Amino acid sequence: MGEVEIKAVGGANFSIDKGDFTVIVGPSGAGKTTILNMLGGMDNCTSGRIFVDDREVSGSSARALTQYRRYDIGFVFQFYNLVQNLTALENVELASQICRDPLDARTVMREVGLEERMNNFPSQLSGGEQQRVAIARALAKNPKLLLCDEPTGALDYVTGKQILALLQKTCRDRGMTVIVITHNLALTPMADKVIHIRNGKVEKTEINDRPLPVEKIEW
Amino acid sequence: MGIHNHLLTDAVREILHTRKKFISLLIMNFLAVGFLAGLRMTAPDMKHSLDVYYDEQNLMDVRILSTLGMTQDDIDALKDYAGGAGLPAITDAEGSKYLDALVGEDTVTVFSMPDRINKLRIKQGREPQSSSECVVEQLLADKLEIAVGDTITINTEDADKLTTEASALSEHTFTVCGIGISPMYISKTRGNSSIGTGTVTAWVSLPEEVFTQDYYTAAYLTTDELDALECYMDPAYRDKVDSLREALEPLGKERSILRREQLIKETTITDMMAMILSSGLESVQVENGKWYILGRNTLESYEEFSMDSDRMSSLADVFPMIFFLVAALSSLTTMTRMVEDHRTEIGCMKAMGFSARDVSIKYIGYAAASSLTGGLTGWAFGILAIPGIIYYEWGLEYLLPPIKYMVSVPVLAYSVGLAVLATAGSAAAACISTLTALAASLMRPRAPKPGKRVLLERIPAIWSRLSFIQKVSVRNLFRYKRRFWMTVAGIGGCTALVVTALGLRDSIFDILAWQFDEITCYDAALGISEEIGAADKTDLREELENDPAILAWQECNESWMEFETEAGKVSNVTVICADDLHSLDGFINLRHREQGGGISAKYRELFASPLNMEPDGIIIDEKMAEILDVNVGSEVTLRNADEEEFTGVVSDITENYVNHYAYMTRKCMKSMKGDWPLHNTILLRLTDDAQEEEVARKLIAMEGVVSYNRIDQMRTRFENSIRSINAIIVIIIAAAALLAFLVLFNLTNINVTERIRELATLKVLGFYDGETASYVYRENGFLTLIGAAAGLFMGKWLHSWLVRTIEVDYLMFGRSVHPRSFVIAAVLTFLFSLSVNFFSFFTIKEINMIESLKSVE
Repeated sequence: MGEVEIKAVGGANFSIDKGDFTVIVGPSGAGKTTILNMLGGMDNCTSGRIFVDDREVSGSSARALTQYRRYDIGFVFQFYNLVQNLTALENVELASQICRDPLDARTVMREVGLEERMNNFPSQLSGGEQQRVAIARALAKNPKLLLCDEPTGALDYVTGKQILALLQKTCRDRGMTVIVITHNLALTPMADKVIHIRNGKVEKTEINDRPLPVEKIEW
Repeated sequence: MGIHNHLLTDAVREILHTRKKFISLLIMNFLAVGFLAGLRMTAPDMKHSLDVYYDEQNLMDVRILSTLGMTQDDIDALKDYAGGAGLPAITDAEGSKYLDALVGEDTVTVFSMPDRINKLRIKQGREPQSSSECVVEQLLADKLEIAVGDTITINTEDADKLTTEASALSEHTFTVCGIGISPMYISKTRGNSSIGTGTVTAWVSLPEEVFTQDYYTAAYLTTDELDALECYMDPAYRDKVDSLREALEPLGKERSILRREQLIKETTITDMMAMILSSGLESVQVENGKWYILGRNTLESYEEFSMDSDRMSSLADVFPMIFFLVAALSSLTTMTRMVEDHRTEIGCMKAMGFSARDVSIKYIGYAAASSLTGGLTGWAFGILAIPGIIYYEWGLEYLLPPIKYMVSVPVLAYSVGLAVLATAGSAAAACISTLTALAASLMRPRAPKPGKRVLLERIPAIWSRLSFIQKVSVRNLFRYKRRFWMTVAGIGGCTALVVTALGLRDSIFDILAWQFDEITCYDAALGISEEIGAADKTDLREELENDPAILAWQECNESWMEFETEAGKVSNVTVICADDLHSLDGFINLRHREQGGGISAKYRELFASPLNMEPDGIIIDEKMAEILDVNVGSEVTLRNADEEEFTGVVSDITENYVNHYAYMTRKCMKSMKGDWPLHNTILLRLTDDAQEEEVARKLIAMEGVVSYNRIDQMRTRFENSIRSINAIIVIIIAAAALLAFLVLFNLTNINVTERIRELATLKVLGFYDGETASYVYRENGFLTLIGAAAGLFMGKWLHSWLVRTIEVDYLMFGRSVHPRSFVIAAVLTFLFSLSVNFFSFFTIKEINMIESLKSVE
């Protein structure tokens, strides 16, 4: 009774430019998460190659992948994944303390609009606020790539919009390369580039010359 | 039925998918049950092995010694003894002849070859086939390097003096045809003798025809119907033997009279009265004979073995229970955790309409499967391994037959039953509390436990110095209060077990030095005949004075008595009557106890003052004072061997650990008893370079000296009997170590599973494996620290309680644990903690980062 080999992703070729806001979109089971895992250095691909900033990520050792995550990636989770036992500020500092060139935690907190809630524990914050902390935590690492996995998946409409706005603003103001992974097609107009995934393949890549601000999008 | 089959599939898969948890639960039950059942079975196995051996060798049930010796007619009369209703019927009777002789320098007991009763177990060679062959004891063969086929010479010079014949034996040189062991002599230490060095080394068995004496020294009886009883364990055995002994008294009287008449007739005819009578019959008149009808318990090694194994069983009563508790606690944590982890699934099942029983059967079954498998294998392993190891250890001090294992259904039932009950019970309890919740609330993810500020944060001096990981650790410790206490109790329990085990060893081995180096300062006690002539006494004193090896000597009276009060009774008290208590200075150190904090509060005040040496009172030892529940000024009743009773007053309580002693002036004894106790003992102190064997040989040869009792032999015997305790302690420490490891492993596992999301997130954030692991380690380390500290206190308390529980009547153990033992216990605990960390590193390394993407469950 051998395990059946299942190919999650195959023939997914795409490139993302520095400073772009990219949305990777596709239905459930299309292979979005696998792409995210490989991009985020959480998983290795069995074949094919991934380059970030001219450095090859695919085929790296476990330690090299850890360093890649540590210095190059900022990750925003669907369920925020804050350390329950640390205050909002401490959660940000937790990430920044392992980086080479972190941003000041308080400054980042101010930027995401949580100046007043810095000393609260996650359980004392709303979902949107928690996601802001998570974004602040990712930003404070001063990463090359901000990877967001369904960042609005657990949030209501209005709050979700605010979070997306924050991400878009970060991309524009800081020149941060942001990749948002979602199943929500309605988000595509806000991106510089949209990559459609279906059945583990890149179905098509669209370039938006005039991305819309989040506020103008309805879904 | 299909539904239930799927429930079963689910349960089986659960086991397969959580192998680590299942196995650690299984091993915990294995250890707890194995330890409990193994220790419980040790004493019974030991006693049973001996009982089987005794039955196989047909060890006598009753032996009869007569002051006038016994004839074949006496033996026949015993064999034909009709007995009566309720009495065990005598199956067989056999006479035996024996005497003490020398083989080279060694004093040996020489006895006639047993035929049907007390049969030897020949280990090499065969039984004698001619009158010039003999069987020697294994001990002697080992000591003198005798092999089958060698010849030995038996020197009967001393025995020759007591016989009318040319010699006590018709031959003196024998070929060794066999080497063996005897059920009469299972201890390696033997009694005293009035020849050679005064100490018997071993035995030699010769064909009966070489003994020239025409009477038997002893008669042995067996009754087959008592074979069915366990002689050490069934009280009925002793009762029946006692009733038989009592019933034989009239026959003894009757046969003694006949024997006396016969002796008078013989001596008159041969006109050699004086010579015969000197063969132990003493006076010119043939005195009235007397039979001493004795049971097995008067065999020294028989009784010694019984006491040693009892000491073992007292240890087995308490220790495994504590062990069991720790294991049960850990199982409880694991099962509770498991059920809580499955709350969503349980809620889902409930929502689908499964009954509470259907749902809970999986968890209860899981627990029952692991505890039953672990318990049964543990039981089987425990009852083989533990008695085996201890019996082997015992075998180094005794001459034992191979071990015979027993299967006790009650022990099986309650040891495995307790384990299953504790594990499955905790699963059931956890299920009940979860199942009573509404399905809907179960299916909602449990709100994460909110973070909280801890007291330490109010102290910025410390808090600001901590790194984030340290801060998380501190907050986590106080966040999960239940886990905190479980871990502290689990680790503490193991540390406490190790402290207790090491402490017991301290307590037991301490008293060896205290008793034999500090309290009993004399080297030997010389037994003097009370009928010694004045001239012989002067000679003896002169010899003692002039021998350069003798540093000092002191005459006194020594006797054995029973002490009694309403609270209790102490038999076998050595009563030493001195001319003046101060004359014992330098020989026996009478003093109040100083060391050991756990002095019974009753005597604490008394012990602060110097010992009272007033001449009119009795000084008794501390343990006796406790058993009799007396204090200074209390009255005690003394009873001597002739059943005479006296009343005396306790004047003080002295430090003593081994056996029971009472000291008083001879005047005090006279005032109670009426006549002066005679000097029958001389205490000797030898110079450091004295050749004790030489001194003994010289003194034993003198007129009036009946025995030479060496203190170092008493020490060795005691040392040997407590050495086997070491084996148990090693087993306890090993088991406690394993348990500590498992408890920590389990808790770490729970800790990791509980926070798998958090750990996975840290990994995604780019923490190295080492950094992620140290996140868990720090908490483990801190919990270990607190647990170990608590364990040291628990251990100290447990030890002071246990030491009293396992103490036997004739011993008082030290009451304190050495600081070294505390250090060892703490270091061991940390080592276990470190090794658990080492193993859990791999678990943490394997955590999949994908976990961080999942929703909260």
